[in-house]
Amino acid sequence: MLAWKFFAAGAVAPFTGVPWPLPSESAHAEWVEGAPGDGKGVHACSVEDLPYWFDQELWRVELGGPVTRSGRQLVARRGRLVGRVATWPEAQDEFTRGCIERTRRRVLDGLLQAGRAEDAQRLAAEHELDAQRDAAFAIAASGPAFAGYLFDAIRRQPYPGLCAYIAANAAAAQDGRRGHDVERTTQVQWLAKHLALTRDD
Amino acid sequence: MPAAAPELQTLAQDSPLVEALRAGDERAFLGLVGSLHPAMMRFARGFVRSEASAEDVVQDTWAVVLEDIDRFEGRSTLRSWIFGILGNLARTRATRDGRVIPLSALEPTDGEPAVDPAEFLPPSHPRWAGHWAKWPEPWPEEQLLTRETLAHVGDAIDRLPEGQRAVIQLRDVEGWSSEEVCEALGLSDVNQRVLLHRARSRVRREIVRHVERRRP
Amino acid sequence: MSRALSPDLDCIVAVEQVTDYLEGALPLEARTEFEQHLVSCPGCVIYLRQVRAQVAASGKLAEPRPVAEEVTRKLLEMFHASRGG
Repeated sequence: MLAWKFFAAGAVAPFTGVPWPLPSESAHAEWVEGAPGDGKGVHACSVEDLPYWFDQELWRVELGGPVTRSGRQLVARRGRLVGRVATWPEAQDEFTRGCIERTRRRVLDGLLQAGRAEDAQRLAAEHELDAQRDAAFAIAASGPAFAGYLFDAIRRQPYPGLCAYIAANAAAAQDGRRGHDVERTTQVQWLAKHLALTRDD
Repeated sequence: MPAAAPELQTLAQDSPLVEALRAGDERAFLGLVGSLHPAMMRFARGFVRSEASAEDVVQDTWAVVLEDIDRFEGRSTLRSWIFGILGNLARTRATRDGRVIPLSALEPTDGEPAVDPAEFLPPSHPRWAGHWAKWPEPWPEEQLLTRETLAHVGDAIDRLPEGQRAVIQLRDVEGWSSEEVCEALGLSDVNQRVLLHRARSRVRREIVRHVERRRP
Repeated sequence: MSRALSPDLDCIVAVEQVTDYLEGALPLEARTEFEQHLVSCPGCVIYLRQVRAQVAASGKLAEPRPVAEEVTRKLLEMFHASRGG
């Protein structure tokens, strides 16, 4: 079964520190065996899980043996590298800018709904991220704490996992479970499209 | 995550050593003493707190070991057996010396949080209750491994309650496995982990205080 | 406006799980959640690194020290006496 997995630089598994063997031109990569025992297999994810696991490198991986799901992760007996997604982490900046932009729109909506038209206008007038961040901070300090999500998202842009999480939380704050799921789905769709991932896993 | 374990002993490794000891092999005995004695002294000092008393209980431990080696069944590692004897003698000695160590000192006490709750945003925070108010600062390795910082770490360990000190001493300083520590101290896995967690948390706070003080 | 949906792990809870995590004692589901939290929390990543660094530093306190000659002598006496010498 094919899946995806984020790695630290050098195809190093992010939590175990185990480097996965690389595939060569002519041969498949060697399998990595998970330790035996409950839940100690090899971890990977499906496309829908990707925004929860960001790291330096993204690889297509093949999973062997029975595969189960644990929360937002797949657990398999063994796994091996298939190929690296060349457009990651280059696409990271654009991804996080998308999270920020959607958060900005939600904050603007929220401000208008809360009757804070002036704050909304002030925020809408800013086009640079730094200025948007500072405006959001000031607006949140003066009352509508919700605006702070934009401050958080911009401030944490260097951390895609956190930035995505902030965007999801902002969506949840505005529109509950539904909002959360819409934001996460949008993130997944963006990744699938811009990283040219196929969804047949 | 493996702790540093320069001489991790297994039951398999012990067997020839035990045979050699029983056979009167002096070199085997000296080798064992050489490898365990410093750790035994460090461990004993967690109970008796005077170098002289520690020397006494360590010597007494070796006497018991030699007396009982023929009866050692190898169900635990040799060193966890030895440290079990040492712990009992040290506690007895400490009681005799007027330092009463209740058995409950080895049992976890009621929950103290690992990190001061003030370091996290309060429940009233509109967006990030329970998250770091400010991220911890990475410790520069050059700073952590200086003699001065290590001395602070050692001091922090020395000042722990006996149960926490015993566990962190054997796990993090001596590099023992959790199985051996549970064996030597007569602890369940869960209890051992709780003591380790509390001990590490207290020591960490000392490091933070020290490392932050030295920041410009 | 409601907060983020639980069951997201908060940092204040995550730091209490670090020891169990490092011991491999978290059940699979809890371990997944803990690791997921790390991906969205550079603060806890730093914290975990600190704990690892602390453990490594503690190991440096186990200095091998030669046993005092007098002690060796005494112990050898005991050894030979006990072996029926």
